[in-house]
Amino acid sequence: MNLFLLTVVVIIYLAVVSYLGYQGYKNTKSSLDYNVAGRNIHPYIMAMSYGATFISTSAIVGFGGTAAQFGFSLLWLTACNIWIGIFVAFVFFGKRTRRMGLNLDAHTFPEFLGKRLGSVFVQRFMGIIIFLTMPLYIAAVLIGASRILEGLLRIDYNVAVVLFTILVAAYVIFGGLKGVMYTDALQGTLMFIGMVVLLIAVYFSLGGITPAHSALTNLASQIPEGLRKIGMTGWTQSPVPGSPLFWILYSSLVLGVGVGVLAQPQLIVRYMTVKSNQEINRAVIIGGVFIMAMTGTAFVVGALSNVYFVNSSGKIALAMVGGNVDAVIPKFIADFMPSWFGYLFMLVILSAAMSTLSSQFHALGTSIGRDVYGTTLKGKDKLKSWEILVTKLGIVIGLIITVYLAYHLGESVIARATSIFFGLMASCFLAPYAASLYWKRLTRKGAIAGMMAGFLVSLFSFLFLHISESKVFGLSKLLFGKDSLLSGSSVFIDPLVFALPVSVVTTILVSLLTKVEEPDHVERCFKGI
Amino acid sequence: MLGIPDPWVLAAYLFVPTGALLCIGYGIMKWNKEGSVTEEEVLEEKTWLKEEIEIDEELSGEEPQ
Repeated sequence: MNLFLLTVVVIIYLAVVSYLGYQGYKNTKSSLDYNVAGRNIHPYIMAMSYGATFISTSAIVGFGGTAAQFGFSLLWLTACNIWIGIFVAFVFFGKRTRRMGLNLDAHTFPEFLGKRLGSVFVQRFMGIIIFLTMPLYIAAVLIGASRILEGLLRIDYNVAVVLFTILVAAYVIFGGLKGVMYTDALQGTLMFIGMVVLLIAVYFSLGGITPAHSALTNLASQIPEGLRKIGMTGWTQSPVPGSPLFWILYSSLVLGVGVGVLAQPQLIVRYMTVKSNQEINRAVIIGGVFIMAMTGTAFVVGALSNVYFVNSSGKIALAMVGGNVDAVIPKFIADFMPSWFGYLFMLVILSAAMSTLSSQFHALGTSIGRDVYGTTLKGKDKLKSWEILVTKLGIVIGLIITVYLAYHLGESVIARATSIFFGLMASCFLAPYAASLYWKRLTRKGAIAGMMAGFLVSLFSFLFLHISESKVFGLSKLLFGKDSLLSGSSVFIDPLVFALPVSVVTTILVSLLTKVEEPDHVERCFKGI
Repeated sequence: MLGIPDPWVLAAYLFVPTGALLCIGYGIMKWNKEGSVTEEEVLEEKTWLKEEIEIDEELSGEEPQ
């Protein structure tokens, strides 16, 4: 490792990011009218900002490692990321959210739903749920970044967590919170270049696309016994239908994250910053290609790392890292690519982590400051300054919880932590959110009932059904003498599979049984749609 | 095909570039559509953006202008 070169590269990178952030911020402030009237925010910047926020170290390191473990079946998640996370999200959710967000003068996701439904309770409830659960997702991103530092710099994981936290805290404090899209765009571009280079290099070194895949197929005999037992049949083969792996893969990872993306607070805000639907139309192109290059590469490379490791050391990827899935991608980059690429890739990871973290902390801080505390204020009175303080305090508390989680969550946890957060957001908020955009007959009571039903069913599942969590909480064992009330492989079915349909049905039924509270307000919400 | 024997997994692999193609096709088809906005919308956006900047300034500890 060339420490001097590495330090220089990181310092130059941070300087450019800071400069861009500062410039973008100043520019927006001084040319407010110009920006609004001229509508010249480039769709490239919008799409890259969305993409860079969406894709984090969790996707690249955590899910890339999971692909090394489970194989190409995880590509269903990439397909969902593009078809649902970009196309459906932009075209069917983004356009209406943008227009309605304007009509309602909403600035956060909880504020959007709260104002649409005319309910402060909704805004506060969402604020609290986001504040309490988001640290789990932030920790997943932080763990991913720290594993990369650990792998590439060959430093201790605990030291890496501290190093990266200091870096992120500095970034968030010195301007990261301003949410400047130019910075995201630079980071997105770096991520794109890094991942494309990686994909080409891997396919090239393994003799091309088909030979590489065939070599992976031929490794089926080396599947560890543990994975074979839960239903794995090969890295290019589907798991046995109904097996534990089948449910883990499709219900938690593919469905949880693939669909959960539609209800992500830090992403929904992005639609509201776009100037017109035309920008959204154009951004669909960049978004689709960007996501393909990101998760597509991460999952393909993750799975193919098995071929590389078997060829070079005679062991599959999981065996190379002592079973810690989260360490596969860092180990692979360090071993497979030349050291200069390792440095470039570290910037990619820094970019991916920072662009996501800044938005996460923004969403976390505003959830408690604006959505919970802010709604207790009447007008712009003197207590307004307390809102800022509460927001900042929220961020500091969030940071502390995050670091604590990063130390205590253990190994092979990134993908799971991410999917819990994504799944929970979808279970609670997706049904009321979608209905808010498309259904004038939605009532406040219907939305609240749907939200509560999704939340309670998720909570029940985490405590009593889904064994990964119920075993940790121990309540099921205490009350019923077993880790899960379900049996067989159904203990692996993700809470989302139960909670989302219940939330959808409850939202619809209660709305139909109650009256729209303020029909005039609903018409105002739908103005221009 | 492509060294992937399982059609279900192959479908996932192929859905990735076709999804990207769908996005490209849609974006090109709609490149110049839905860009027109009313005066009212411009005004609304102006208010929205002004508040957004105020929030950002508050968060970064500066006095709103």
